[in-house]
Amino acid sequence: MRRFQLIEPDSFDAAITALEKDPGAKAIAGGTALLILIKHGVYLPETLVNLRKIRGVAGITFDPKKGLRIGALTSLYDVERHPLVRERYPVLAEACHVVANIRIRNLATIGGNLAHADYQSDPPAALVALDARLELSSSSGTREVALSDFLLGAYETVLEPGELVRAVLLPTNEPGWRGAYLKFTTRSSEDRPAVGLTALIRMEDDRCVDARLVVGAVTPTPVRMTAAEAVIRGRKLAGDLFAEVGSIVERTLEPIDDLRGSASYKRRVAGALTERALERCIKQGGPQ
Amino acid sequence: MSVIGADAPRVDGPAKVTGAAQYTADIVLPGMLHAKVLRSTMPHARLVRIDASAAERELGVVTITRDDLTGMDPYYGPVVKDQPIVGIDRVLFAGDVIAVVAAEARDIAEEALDLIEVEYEPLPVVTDSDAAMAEGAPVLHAARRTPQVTFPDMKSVHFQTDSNVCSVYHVERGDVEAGFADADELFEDVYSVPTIQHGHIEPHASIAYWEPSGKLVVHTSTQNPSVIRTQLADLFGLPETSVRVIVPYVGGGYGAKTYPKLEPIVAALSRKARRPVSLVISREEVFMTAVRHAASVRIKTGVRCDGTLVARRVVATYDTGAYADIGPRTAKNGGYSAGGPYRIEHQDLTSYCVYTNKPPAGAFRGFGVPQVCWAYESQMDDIARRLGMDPVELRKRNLIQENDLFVTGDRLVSVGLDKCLDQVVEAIGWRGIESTRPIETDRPGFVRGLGLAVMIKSTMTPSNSAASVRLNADGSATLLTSSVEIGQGSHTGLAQIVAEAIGLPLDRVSVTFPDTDFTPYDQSTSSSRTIFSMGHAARQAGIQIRDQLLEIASGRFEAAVEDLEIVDGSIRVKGVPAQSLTIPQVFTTHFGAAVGSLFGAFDYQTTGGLDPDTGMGKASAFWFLSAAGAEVEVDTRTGKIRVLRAVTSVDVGKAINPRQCWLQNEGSMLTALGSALFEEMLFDNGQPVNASFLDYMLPSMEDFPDTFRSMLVETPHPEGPYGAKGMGEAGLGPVAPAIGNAVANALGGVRLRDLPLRPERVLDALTKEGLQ
Repeated sequence: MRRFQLIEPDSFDAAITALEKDPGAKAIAGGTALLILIKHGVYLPETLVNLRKIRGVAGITFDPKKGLRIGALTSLYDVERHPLVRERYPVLAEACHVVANIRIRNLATIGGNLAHADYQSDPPAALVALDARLELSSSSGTREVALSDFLLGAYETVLEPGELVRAVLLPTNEPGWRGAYLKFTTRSSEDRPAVGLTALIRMEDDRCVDARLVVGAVTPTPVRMTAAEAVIRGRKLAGDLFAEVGSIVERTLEPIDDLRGSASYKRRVAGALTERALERCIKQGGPQ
Repeated sequence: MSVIGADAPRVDGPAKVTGAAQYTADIVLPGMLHAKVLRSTMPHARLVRIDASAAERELGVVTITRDDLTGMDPYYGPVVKDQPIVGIDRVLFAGDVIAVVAAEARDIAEEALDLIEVEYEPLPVVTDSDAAMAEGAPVLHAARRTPQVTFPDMKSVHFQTDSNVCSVYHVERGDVEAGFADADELFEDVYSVPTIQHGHIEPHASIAYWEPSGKLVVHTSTQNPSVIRTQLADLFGLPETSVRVIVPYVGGGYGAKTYPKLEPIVAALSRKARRPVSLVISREEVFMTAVRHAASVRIKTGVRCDGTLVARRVVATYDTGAYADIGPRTAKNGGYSAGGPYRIEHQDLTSYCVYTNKPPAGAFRGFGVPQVCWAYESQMDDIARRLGMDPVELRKRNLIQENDLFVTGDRLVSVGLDKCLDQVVEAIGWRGIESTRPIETDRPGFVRGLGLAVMIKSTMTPSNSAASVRLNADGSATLLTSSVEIGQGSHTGLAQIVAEAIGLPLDRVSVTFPDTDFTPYDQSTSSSRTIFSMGHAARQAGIQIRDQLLEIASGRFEAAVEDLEIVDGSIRVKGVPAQSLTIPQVFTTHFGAAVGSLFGAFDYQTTGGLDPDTGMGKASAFWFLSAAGAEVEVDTRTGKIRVLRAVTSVDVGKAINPRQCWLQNEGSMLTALGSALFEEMLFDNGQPVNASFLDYMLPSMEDFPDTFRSMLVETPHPEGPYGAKGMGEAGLGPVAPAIGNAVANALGGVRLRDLPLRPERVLDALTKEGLQ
């Protein structure tokens, strides 16, 4: 590894200043993604701004009106273990729990995970389904962006130079939502997902009144299966419908070929996962 | 109480667990420089121009290019001298060494690599063994030279020079065509196994320096210090006494650390720099340094209706990559093992070791056998299915037995394969032919199946191991050995053998690290030969000391040697516990005071070898026999396989340390599981595609079967210490075909012949069969 300058600010503002001063500088938090790029020579940093010594940007709070706020420096492990997340947004806990292994999850942060915008990742698909918004900070102030608008493509976001993700915001969910996140790997269990699928449905009596189906890891950004969602809404959920919805996902998805599988294979897997995720939503019951 | 058969704790355990254990990369010598390697970006090219002058001028680094090696023959290799220290006229794979740099710090060396100018002229690329053997393929090594010193067993292969076939091995018995004519059913299939990586935890690392006397000293992470010494002596024109090879703890090897790897590079660099040079390569470079042979195996078998195997022809082609390394032996051993552990009257077995433009393939746990075992054990289940037989019954009808003649003519001893198979049948819950049917589950789309397989493998023969044991006056003993503790537990097992041979408590025995200036010759820590060969030598050396102690004590007691015993370090008259001497007392009796030392030394050579024209002779000093079973669950919607249960049974002769044997089986099982399910090095026209742990994955703990059971069979070997045989590699071979057979049984006979059993491959097969 080549030598580089490491700046360790103790406040978020100081970090922003450091990043603004040096357009070549990059922010590093957990380092689980960036260090791999550096080691492989894909990215050779001149300056890294280490965010880990900054206090007050990790942690999870809930406000009944505003919803859930997850500080950007919260580790994936802390997200997955937090009672508020497990109780109110269990699908997010599931998606964080299946990332790599516990050593990675202890280091990786939720803000870093989203800012890195690796398409082969679990949390983004769950967060897009949950209508997550991001709070972004720079020297000119703070703005809020929907996660689905924040992610522009593989490793591409709307972040401006000198701008950092400060928090992930989740809206208060109405009662009756149920959900499941299914990760599918084609190699080791610790691999990144070949396909990640989030299903969220809202039930009133035995009918589905709202649905979100988001497939992650197959396209540059998580993709909502709107045609499939439309078929579910207003319907009674049963086996035939699951198969119908699965086949719509299989037909409409346009995945990328990569080492984890061909496009046509991922389409078939996404269809099967859709059926299974919906089945699990029905079986589990409970909130979200 | 005997320490043989006891689960003694690892002698190296505390140092490794606390982080105190020193590995090569931990060694820092005064004035030491750090090296980096400039590697080829092209899979095959002529080196038109290499200019390292800017790097030397601007950064003050020391470089080695072909221009520095003009005064010497820069080629090395244990069997064929085909690999240069750095690229001379060509590079032969993407990752091949072009130049090396030594600098005060590693990042300076890395920076210097960018300043070395290389001009390539691309040459046509030979991507696999089929392409390499095709008419008109570019010949990668036109001249083929053998080193001055090589191994006696290498006389049994034919080296070729006019094609990319490096070597051929052939053996036959009976008349295979007549056998096929005599058979009721014929089976002919082609199986394939891809290139895979060892995945040892410690990357390759070596340090070298030259003493003022002209002596070359190397600290290195190797499995065979004696070969490193021979090869360096040959390269640099030195007597072996002027090369000293020291091996500290080694963090795993699985074969990847046999034969020269980085040692020639650091020796050349430190000679020019006149300072010690350390080279520790990155994980990505490990993928360019050693791999397991990809292989394609064509197997034809003739069977009678009653299940008797009558004839088998196998042609196995091993892709050895750009340099031969130990490939000719790997292919030879795979070749004669390709008939499997079966009595087959007519056999015709051929193996080829073939050059391609890929990283050099060499030794890998199992040594050529997992490739052919995948083929013959998969086909065995297809045969059973077509004949409507229980696959266990089919195997039992044909299994080799004690005193049978192997295809090479070896008389087989210590053959407990029946028992291994029985144990697996019992442990996996095999219930005859009904176990070949799919097992339904309560999850729609998921089916389960059981499968099993058996294996036979040889060990390096002939080979030498020498041990010496020194007993000190305080009753502590040291085993001087060149066996390498690579994590396999050899030093614990050897200490147990020495303690038992002399009659000492285990904690009074210590075992040295290899240092060729002081420890006696050992051929290699590979081929699972350490407990058998070094154990034999160590035991005999220990017995010599025991005899001396008894002789001295017999004078003192005025009792016959036969009436004495040594228990826990005290020498006593049998049945008269009051009549006893401590070891210091024996020394005092002998030397007049508790001073001096007693020595024992033994040089053990296994004999054998094969005739190059007939392939016949004695292939192996002992034979590994093993069986494995698996239960899998297949997700028929996605093709994903999960191994729910795995069991292995290995005939170990005698377990010196049963717990270590179980752990060896566990490691073998996990390696085999990765290779069965997803491990595969991918190349795109010779360019590596997934040469890092980011994209080449090893199994993780989550992939471990829900239950794993290791079982041991003990059929004592007459030459093994206390009857022990080698066993480190034995559990690996049958695991992949057991998984493949379980998958086939889960899917009603759908057979996948190419490893790994990737989910997409499984789903494609199901789709083709109309099952999805």
